[in-house]
Amino acid sequence: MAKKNILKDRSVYAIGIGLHPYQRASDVTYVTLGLTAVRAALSDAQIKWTDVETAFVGNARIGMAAGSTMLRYLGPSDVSVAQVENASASGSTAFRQAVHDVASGVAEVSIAIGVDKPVEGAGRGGPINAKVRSLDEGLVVPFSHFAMLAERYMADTGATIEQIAKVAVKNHANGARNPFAQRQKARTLEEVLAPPQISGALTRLQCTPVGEGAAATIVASEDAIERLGIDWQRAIRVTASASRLQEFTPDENADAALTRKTTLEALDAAAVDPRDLDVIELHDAFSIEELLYAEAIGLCGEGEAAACVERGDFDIGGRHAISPSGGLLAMGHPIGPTGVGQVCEIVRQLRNEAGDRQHPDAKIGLAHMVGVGAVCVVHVLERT
Amino acid sequence: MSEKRELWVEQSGVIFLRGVKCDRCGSVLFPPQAYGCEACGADETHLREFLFPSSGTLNSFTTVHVHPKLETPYKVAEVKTEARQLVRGRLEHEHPSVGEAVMGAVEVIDGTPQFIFVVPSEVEA
Repeated sequence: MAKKNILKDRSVYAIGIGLHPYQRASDVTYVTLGLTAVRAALSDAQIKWTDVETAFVGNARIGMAAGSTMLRYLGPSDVSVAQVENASASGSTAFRQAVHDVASGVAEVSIAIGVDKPVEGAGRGGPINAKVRSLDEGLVVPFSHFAMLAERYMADTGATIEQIAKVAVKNHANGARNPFAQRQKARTLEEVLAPPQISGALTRLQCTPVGEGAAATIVASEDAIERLGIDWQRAIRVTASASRLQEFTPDENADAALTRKTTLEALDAAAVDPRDLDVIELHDAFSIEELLYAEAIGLCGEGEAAACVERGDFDIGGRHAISPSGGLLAMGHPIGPTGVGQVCEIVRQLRNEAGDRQHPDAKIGLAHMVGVGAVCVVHVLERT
Repeated sequence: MSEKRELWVEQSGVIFLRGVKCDRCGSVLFPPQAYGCEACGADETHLREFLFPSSGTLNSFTTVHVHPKLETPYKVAEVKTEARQLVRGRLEHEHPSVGEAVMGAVEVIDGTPQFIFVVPSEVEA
């Protein structure tokens, strides 16, 4: 059954972006993190908080009613607020909700906010509370899951540990040019391969740092852009939003299959060929993921991604810039903010405002997140 | 399914895994649950207990060097069983490789019987 692409009928534009730098857990409250990003996005769009009609706040770690508690400090308004939880894809899902509010006509201006940090007494989460016992209880933490995918990828394609590590070398170099990144230091291959070993082929610098931060993106209709006098040159159209739940696929790599299906749905809806994507922000929580997802998205053939990274195809200025922000590996993965932060980076790139990490002539971008469950959320954005 | 039942059972020296089979679509599901069939959506009344051999081939594996609670390093395996199920568990194997044959065994660790994957020759020895 083909899904309706509401974004074909009614145009939705990202008009404002804002971030609080991603960083190690600190004493800064989530309220300060979140308000910093929201105020930056309002200032970027040059609109007032009272112009925003609906707000979606993505997070997974800071508990009930965090969104409403935070937004009260912006003063009285008619805004409707909802908190959105979808594991690592919480921010991406908040963005999807904001985009659909504008596309459906429920709101002319909506904001997606991602804010998160580790707090005391966080819940144990759905997978544990479902109480399905398994043989690997506690044995397989996320990095071991991806280390197993790396082992399998090397066996299937002949890729080497060094080739997988080069993903991290590239993304750390990108993060070094991003003032909002948690890791802002370029790393050599030797540094990336150096201990501590985490699991299998994965070393510490090939695993995402999970800290704290915030990101916000404001979306608006054409009417609102005209009414609020927003600069059309800086408005970036959202042309597709896709979100899927993982299916039972015992005979193939479930992570790759989920990404392939979700991305295909988004690219079909936007009528975009994967070869035409200029910038891609993807879920590189672990270095191996960039290789798996680049192939699943269709940026190269099966088993070719390691060679692409080695040739510089995925560098800024290459065939496709993958994770110019530094990705989850270098920019970081504070959970709730991550998906919104990806959209901020794509908007910045498509506006040609990314400074010394600008991918030349970027016109089409794709944001990809996965979350425990598993879920996958993909957005396509285009400069018009 | 009682909380106390083990996920494996030994029959004539062979370790079987205790999964469920959907009587509507025939899929074998592991770990067992009484919620519904992930493969076809049949409700829990269609899921029957189903024992299947724990032997299979290594789909993948890894050595875990960092864990918040457990002693490291240790290895985990993802095994494709003959019932087409992917099953994950602890692996005891010095030099594993993808595609290699493995089987389940039970080892008493700290007084508690635990399921592990091993290479068949090590069991015979």
